[in-house]
Amino acid sequence: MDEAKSIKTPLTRKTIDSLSAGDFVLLSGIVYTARDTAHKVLNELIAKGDKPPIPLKGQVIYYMGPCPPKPGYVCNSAGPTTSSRMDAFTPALLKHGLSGTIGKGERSQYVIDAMVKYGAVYFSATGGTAALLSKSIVSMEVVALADLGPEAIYKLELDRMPVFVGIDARGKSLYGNRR
Amino acid sequence: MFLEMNRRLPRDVFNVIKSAHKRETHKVARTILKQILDNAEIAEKEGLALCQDTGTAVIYIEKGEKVLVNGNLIEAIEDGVEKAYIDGFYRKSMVKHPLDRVNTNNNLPASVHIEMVGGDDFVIMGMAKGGGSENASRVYMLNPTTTEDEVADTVAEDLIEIGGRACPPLFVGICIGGDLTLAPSRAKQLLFREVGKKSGDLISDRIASKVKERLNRSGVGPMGLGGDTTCLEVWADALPCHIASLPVAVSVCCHSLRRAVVRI
Repeated sequence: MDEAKSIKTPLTRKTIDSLSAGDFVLLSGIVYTARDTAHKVLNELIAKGDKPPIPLKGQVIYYMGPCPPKPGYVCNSAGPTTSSRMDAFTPALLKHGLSGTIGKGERSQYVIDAMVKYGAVYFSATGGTAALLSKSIVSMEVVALADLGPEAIYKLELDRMPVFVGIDARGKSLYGNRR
Repeated sequence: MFLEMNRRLPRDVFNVIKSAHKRETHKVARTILKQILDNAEIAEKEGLALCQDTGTAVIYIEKGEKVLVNGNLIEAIEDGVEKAYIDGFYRKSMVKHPLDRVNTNNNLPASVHIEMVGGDDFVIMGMAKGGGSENASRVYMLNPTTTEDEVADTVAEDLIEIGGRACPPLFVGICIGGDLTLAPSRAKQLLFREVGKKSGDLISDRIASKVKERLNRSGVGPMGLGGDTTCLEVWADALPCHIASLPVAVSVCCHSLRRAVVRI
């Protein structure tokens, strides 16, 4: 699409506010991956008052568990998983400064409410385009929960990964326009 | 079989996405469908997995009564699956216990279904079935007085409610009848049918077209972000059932329907 917005992480409040549901975005910079178990662990650490293994302020979490490393590739196929499984764990992370999430599919209303309250945006990456999306990942390293394999927390550097703003920081959503 | 399957979309699947892309009128939806087509080309060219969720290995076998199998068939299948997932650098997505969640690290066990049939053919059907769309699949136990239209409406409404979670545009298999064992198994097996192929049971075929038409009118669109393309194909079929029952099983697959059929 011609009118793509190029943005870089960590996200500033100004960037967050400039995004609207339906925008096509090319996302660059550092993001962290976390799936179900990693979310559970992050929530437990926050509840205990311990420091999470990744920074949250202004950061973006990508709901993704990649294929194993393939020789000659920085990152093997790496597309989004279903976001709603992470809903229960998301408000606590937003409260601690998380500014964006990348996944696929609808979010619960209480997640949208927390996004509006704390100022965060939800990006939809296209599920089932993992080979295409992996081309935007320029570096990758495990930073925590290594024993979980594909479900570990990875630090990724992105170079113009194509995503859509599914839900913006005003709570406007592309989902739910059902006929 | 599974090595190739995870890298190359079946031609009927690729072509039906391509036609949908040509027809789609929404801008975001068109971009997504184009990404799906580009992804298929990159995956095939570079030997990369189409989706990082390389699935549970689902295998249906139809063994003709005249076919003699020497050795342990399940073991042979599982050896092949394990080799494909290791050689392909595919994600191992199976855990040994659903509650302690420890990965088996070889994508086993596979989900194997063997049916004895007449004749001397041996048919192996394999599918790499992702978790997101499997979570959207379901079984209904409806009242036996439920009408054809009510069956179609129930299925369609719930699939619309699922929205973008199962990676639409979807492929859907619907089995009407059978029991709690047969219905979901047959519904999933319908996903092996070629796009455009009917069951021949007029009632099932009408339900299939109605569900497809209703989904594509829903506005859910690719990835739930809006559009004309929510469903690429629905296959339905019927099985006999108990007088008190009307089971309906719905097997949902994302747009990346990775399956192959080999007849020996």
